[in-house]
Formats: sequence, structure tokens, C-alpha cells
Amino acid sequence: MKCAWIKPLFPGLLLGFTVGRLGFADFNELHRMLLFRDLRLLLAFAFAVSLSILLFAILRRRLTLEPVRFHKGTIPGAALFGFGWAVTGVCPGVALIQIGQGIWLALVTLAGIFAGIWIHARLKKRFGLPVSGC
Amino acid sequence: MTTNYWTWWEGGLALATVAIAFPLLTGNPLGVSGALARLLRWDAEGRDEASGGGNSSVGGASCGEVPATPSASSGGEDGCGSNPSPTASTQSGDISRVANLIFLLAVLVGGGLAGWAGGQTWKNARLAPEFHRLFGNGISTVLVLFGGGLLVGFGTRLSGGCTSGHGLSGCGRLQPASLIATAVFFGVAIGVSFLLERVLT
Repeated sequence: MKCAWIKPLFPGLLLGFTVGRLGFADFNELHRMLLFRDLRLLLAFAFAVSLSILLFAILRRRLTLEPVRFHKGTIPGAALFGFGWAVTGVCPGVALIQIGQGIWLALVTLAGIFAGIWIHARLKKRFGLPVSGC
Repeated sequence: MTTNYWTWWEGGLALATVAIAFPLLTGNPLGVSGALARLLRWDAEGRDEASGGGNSSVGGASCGEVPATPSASSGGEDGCGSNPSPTASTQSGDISRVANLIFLLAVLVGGGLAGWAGGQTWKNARLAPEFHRLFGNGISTVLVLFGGGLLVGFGTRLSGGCTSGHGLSGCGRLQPASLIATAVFFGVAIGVSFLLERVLT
């Protein structure tokens, strides 16, 4: 397929722009959401999920995506991620967005993320840690 | 700091658009943490495992596997009908390395544009004051960011998704694993945030 590489360009740009314009990449805003002091981001997320449920239901015949598998790493992994997220204010996409905004300290966070991915890959090879698809 | 952020419905609308547009265009579910892992191919989702096929253990059901998208093969009597879906790529759902890199760079550039649109400049860009209120200003911030990033990287890989993969895409498709994972990482993040306020201030 020609020019397949260009396809993620639009959703990528829109994701970065939206998360940035929402303030999801701003530790102040995220911290206030997690303390329930400001429900704007929580509402945005809930609205996004609700709309997605509707759209995926409508498009379910056109979109055949692989199911997300549950395994014994799902919950502990999510808990570790939640901890790191609350402390740094960064989920993987936000690290990139902060770098795009010129926050150079986010390079440190991204380095940490890559280190974490690397450690997971090592341990997985060694102990057969569970891993799921995308 | 900018305060002219989007409202909840503007942001929700745009995020849902991304969650749908990404799989429609690429044939893959959205997920930034998976894309980061694929970038350096430190993860099972690559040609390495598909060609090797040595251990068919837990990683077996990753994105790149052939049987994942029946529409890409001969079609058959599957529910998809005779016409192969235009969205299913010829690579049977596996996103190429270049496309993967383009996606990540697009997220970065999109974030930069958002900062610019919100009135930020590269010169005045810095981490939010709340972060420094909690963790100080010196080397401690570097340690917290690296250590926290480590947890984010390891945790999302172990769990198989992040805010986009589990939270938006997985929950949008009502995947039980993603609903559970999202509840867990939101719950833990809320608990940790309250704890930070209690302990550090």
C-alpha cells in the first residue's frame, strides 16, 4: 500500500493538539483533576469514551480490531502506571507533547519511560512476563 | 501558564475523533505506549517475533500476527462479507516502523502547536508550578521524573496499554481488560495524588 506511512499523521497531530489544548499535559490541571478539585478533564475523558463507545458500535462491522487480552499483568501494570502518572503528570503521549511544547525536563521523563520499556522487555524474555497486544 | 483551555465537550469530541480515526486509517487500535515500544522494537510486536515464532507463549496474540484480521486473507465465509474492508491494511494490521515514527512525531508536533495556540512560547515553557511545589526544584525533580517515567514505561507495557490504548481505545470498544485497567490506573493515580498532598505539603 502506497503512502501508508502518512495515515497516522492526522490522528497523531490531532491527539497531540487536543491533549495539549485540553490541559491534559499540564501537571496543574491533571493534579487538580485527580484531587477532584476540577472535573473538566474528567468530564472530557468520560465524554470521549462515551462517544467512542457509540462510534465503535456503529462502525463495528467495518472495524475488526483485535480484542484486548486480560492477563495477570494487566492490573499490576495499570497500578504501577497510575503511580507514575500521578507523580509525573505524564502518560506516554504527554511526554512527547511536553517536549513539543519546549519543556526540556520532559526529556528526563521520556528517558525514564524508555528505560521502563527496556526493563520490561528484558524481564519478559527472562521470566516470560505477560504482554498483550497493542 | 495558560488557562484558556478547551471545554470538556470540545476536548471529548476531538479525543473520540482520534480514537476512531486512527484505526479507520491504519487498521490498528490507538495506543501511544505500544507505539513507543515498537519504535525501538524492544517489544514482542515486531517482525522479530513474527518471523522467529520460537516461543508461542503469552506474546502470541500481538498485533502483527496474521490470523488477527480475517479480512486481509481470502475473505472466506467470515462475517465481514465478500468485500474486504478498505480499512484493513495489506500488512494485516501491523503498522510499519515509518508510520509508527510519523505517528509519534505527529503527537509531539501537535503538542507543540497546542502550546503555541495557547499562547506559550518555547522560552517560557516549563513544568507546572504545582509540580515544583510538591517536589522542589533541584535534582529531586530529575529523580522524580525519571523514576516516575520508569513506572509509566514498565507499567504500561506490563498492562498492555496506557491512557490512549486502554483508556480511550479499549474502553471505547468496551474491552473488559481495558475497563479494569483504566479503573485501576485512575484509582491508583487518585489515591497517590491525595497521598502526595498529605505527605509532601
